[in-house]
Amino acid sequence: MRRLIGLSVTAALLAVAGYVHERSDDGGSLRSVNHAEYISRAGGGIAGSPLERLERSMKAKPGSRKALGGVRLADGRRIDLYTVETEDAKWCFVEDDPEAGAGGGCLEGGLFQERRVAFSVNTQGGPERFDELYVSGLVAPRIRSAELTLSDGSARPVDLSKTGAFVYESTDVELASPMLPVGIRLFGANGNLVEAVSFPPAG
Amino acid sequence: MKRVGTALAVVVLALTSFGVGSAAAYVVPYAGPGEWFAPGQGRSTDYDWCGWWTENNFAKSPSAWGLVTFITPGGGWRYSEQKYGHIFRTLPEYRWFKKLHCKNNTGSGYQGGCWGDRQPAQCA
Repeated sequence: MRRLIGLSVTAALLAVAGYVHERSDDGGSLRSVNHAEYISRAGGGIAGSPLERLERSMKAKPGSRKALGGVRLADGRRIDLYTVETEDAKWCFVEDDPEAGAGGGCLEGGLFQERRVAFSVNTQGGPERFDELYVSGLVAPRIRSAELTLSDGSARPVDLSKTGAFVYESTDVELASPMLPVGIRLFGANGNLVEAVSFPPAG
Repeated sequence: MKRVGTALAVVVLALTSFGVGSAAAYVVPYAGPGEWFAPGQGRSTDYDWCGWWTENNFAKSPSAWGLVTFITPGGGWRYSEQKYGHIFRTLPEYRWFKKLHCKNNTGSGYQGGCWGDRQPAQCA
């Protein structure tokens, strides 16, 4: 009987130890994760909105989210833009789409350390032909205007909000052509070109 | 007999707790960290199986441009996002068949690492 009880208790302790081990790893540090392991995220489940889950993955500092405003796409969806600071000293530019989820890009040393605009290209469909494409971004404080350059060499002005945020949505004609965004040109107070950032066409 | 009952109760409780822990979302690396991404090179997971991919992330330097996307069994891309630096992407609804993909879509190579979040589901 004692042997039975001993075995039972040992099995219970092993099970509890395994459970505690899983729950104690937050899974956030990529370098600490063994390639072959599946590691449970602290808190478990999939609780929270896509934006809240995104902030958990980014290790956002509590209360660091700052709203930059929102923009409506052609189909009526509202895209809300934010900045977030992380616990490992990164700054993130975040867009939250109630239907398509949340996305964020995090940069070490601040959003404008390497270039005077933080931005992302968001698409649906593809990779050959896209059904939807929009570029969202935030320019540095001294940038007064900006324009997107497309793959055919043409340019499209973007509307900067008071916070310096913008969203440019490609038209159906541009998607069909295709004339896809491949750069952003940033202008200062007197209209002089401050910086030109290029990036590959989506896909 | 009372001791046996207590011991069995402890075992049941522990195993139940273990089951709860296993049902939590998991982080699943599928490239790197520090893996070399040659120009145009990407990495993918398997399609959803005994779980749903809920998030796709790509860690790389602030000067490295790349993308994450969710690929349907038909090969279509959905919810794609391209950025410099670390990319994070979560889905609002994740119960549809897909695999994760991260890609260096530039002309220069760089190091990076990709990982996803998976929500366990009952195997068919």
